Amino acid sequence: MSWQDASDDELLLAAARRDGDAFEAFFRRHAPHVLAFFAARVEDPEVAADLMAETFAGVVVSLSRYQRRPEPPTSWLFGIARYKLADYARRQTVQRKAMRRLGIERRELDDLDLAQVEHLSELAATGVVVRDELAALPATQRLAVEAHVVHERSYQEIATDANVSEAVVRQRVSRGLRRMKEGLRKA
Amino acid sequence: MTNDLFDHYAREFNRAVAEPALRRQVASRAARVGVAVFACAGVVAAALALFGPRVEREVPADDLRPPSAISSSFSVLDQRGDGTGTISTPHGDFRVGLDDNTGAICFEVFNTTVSQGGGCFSKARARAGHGSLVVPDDPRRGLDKDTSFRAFGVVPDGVSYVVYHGERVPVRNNVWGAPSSRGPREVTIPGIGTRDISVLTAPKASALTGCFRTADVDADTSVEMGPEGPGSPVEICERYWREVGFGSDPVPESLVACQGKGDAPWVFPGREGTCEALGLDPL
Repeated sequence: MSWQDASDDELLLAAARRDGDAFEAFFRRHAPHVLAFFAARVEDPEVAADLMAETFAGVVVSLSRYQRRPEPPTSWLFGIARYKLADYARRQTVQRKAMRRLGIERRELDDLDLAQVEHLSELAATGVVVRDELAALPATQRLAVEAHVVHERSYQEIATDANVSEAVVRQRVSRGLRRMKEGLRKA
Repeated sequence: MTNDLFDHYAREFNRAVAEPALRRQVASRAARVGVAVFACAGVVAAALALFGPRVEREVPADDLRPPSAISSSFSVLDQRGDGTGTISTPHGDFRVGLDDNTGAICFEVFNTTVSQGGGCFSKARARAGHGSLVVPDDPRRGLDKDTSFRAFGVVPDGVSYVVYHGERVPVRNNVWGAPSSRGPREVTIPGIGTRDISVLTAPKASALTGCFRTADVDADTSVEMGPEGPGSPVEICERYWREVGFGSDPVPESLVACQGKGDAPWVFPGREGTCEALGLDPL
């Protein structure tokens, strides 16, 4: 069975029934975000990677108790991630208890891995600034920028939805992006 | 992407999940911990039932004093001892995970690559009624600058009870609570939190916004953003819907902000007139 389109809930429930492929799909879907979460918060890429692995190991250890919840499973995932981070901050060392318990082999990062973890860290940090700049835009500009840049909708579609002319949408997007650029320069 | 790194761990976790021997070992340990926790919880519950105070009176709203030190409205923890707990906020509850190894309990408000707030409690502190939430004010700075704050406040002497699934339960710890504007008056205590319990926002926490799943005050909610967060309540919830959302629900076409409890903005899917229909004032 392909787990590509399954929800997080479905993946975790299947993983709780020992479906390794389901958990692998869950891991592949969220591991980059979890790694970015850590990479933006700790200096050492090795530590970030270890914390990511330990976080998912923590999820595996807790799978037997997993049940469908109203909130997204990622809240749970990042709750575990946050604990691992707090624990690291306290001890200044990554406790790999869950990994050891599961027999997960730790990976030493090679140069490519290190560069990519750094890249994720920068992306995460940039994301904070970009998101703040976007949020600071006037509502009309922000919605236009989001619709066109983030959701890749055409000017025409956005104009129809907003009941304005295409020229107005173009102007909003243009002004919004200019304003964000100015903000990013200052940041 | 770091395919080698992710591939390596993807394979490792696939094996670890599918490997029955390891799973049995894990399940066995979890069961032992569960039994121990359950047994302890049972003893405590029995002691409470036999010897706990039975001062069953309501807490007048005017008697409640918000603690001055509170800087956020994450406020109440339900530690069930079953590996999950609930953070109750003025706008709803968050189920959180329990770390097997240490008994700590943590949650994350946003599930994006950037933290918007969250924290960890040790089990002991949670049960003592004092959760410490750690929210780094600068994501790149990590947790070395401790911005912890007390999650609980005080209620005047003689407090009283909570109503939990229809049963009155005596309060053992000082908490900061408030009577609900609807239904039975309730306060909440660690260990028995419930989504119907009302908890006031702290004065500085009014920037926290409740994002509701549907145009219903009893709908699933998510509390978003700390005081430092940018944007109007509607913008905050628009972002929540886009980045997190509620299950597979589509992003609502429009959102509307109403005046919720404790001066906190509540944002519902809807348009002009939605707040009034819910018995709330529009913001």
